Amino acid sequence: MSYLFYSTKIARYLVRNTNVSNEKEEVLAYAIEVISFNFLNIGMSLLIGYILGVVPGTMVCLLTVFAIRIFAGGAHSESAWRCAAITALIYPIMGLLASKTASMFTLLKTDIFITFSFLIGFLALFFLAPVDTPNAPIISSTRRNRLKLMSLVSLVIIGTAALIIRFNQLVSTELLYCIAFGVIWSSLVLTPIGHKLFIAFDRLKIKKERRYKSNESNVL
Amino acid sequence: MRAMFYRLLGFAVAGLVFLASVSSASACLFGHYQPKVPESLQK
Repeated sequence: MSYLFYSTKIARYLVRNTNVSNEKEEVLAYAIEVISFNFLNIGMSLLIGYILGVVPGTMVCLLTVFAIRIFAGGAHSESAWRCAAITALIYPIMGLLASKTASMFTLLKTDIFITFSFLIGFLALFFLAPVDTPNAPIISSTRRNRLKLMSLVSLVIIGTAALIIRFNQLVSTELLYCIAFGVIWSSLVLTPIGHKLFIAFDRLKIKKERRYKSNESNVL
Repeated sequence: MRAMFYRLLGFAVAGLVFLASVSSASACLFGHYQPKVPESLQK
């Protein structure tokens, strides 16, 4: 098992300076990697969203995808840095696309598009969710069923929120498009097409990451 | 001061272990990269 060099270094420091057992080092390295990459991804997304002038849209896309993906899972990149690049770009792009689409489409077309996106989302979640990865396998069938159910409940909650926003005209239609794009993206990453897309991203050549293997101190 | 620092490290460790448990219970979080879940947390 390997984590990025800084995760392992910080985890080792924490184990040495607290009463935690050595077995927990791996768990700590995992948690540090999760927290650091999520902060980096969200921060970069919002920064690019700010540059493009679509911060609210980016935030809505992030929240929509988070609410579904936390239960449904989906395709992942093998590289942390490629993931950071994809995540930093995809949510502001969705926000920008929503902004452009909202100014072009009529309210009727907006309603049709949002209904269509939720239909796709429902079908994808019902038939495909949850999609696990070799790095985080879902072993228990009870857990698998619970995650599917929770992903569908999450979609219903998002749909209800979209309906309330739509009929009370609480915000502009731009944010409704952000929700719709978020649902479509969450559905896409569950499908074989989404997985092929990430395989294609993984084939892009970048500098090799520095990783530590557990119980080794040498850099790979 | 030093004792306080080590106490804070203890809190940090507790928080990280909690986060690891929560994260491993979900299918994934925001990003499109999944670090390997330690075997002790796989279920």
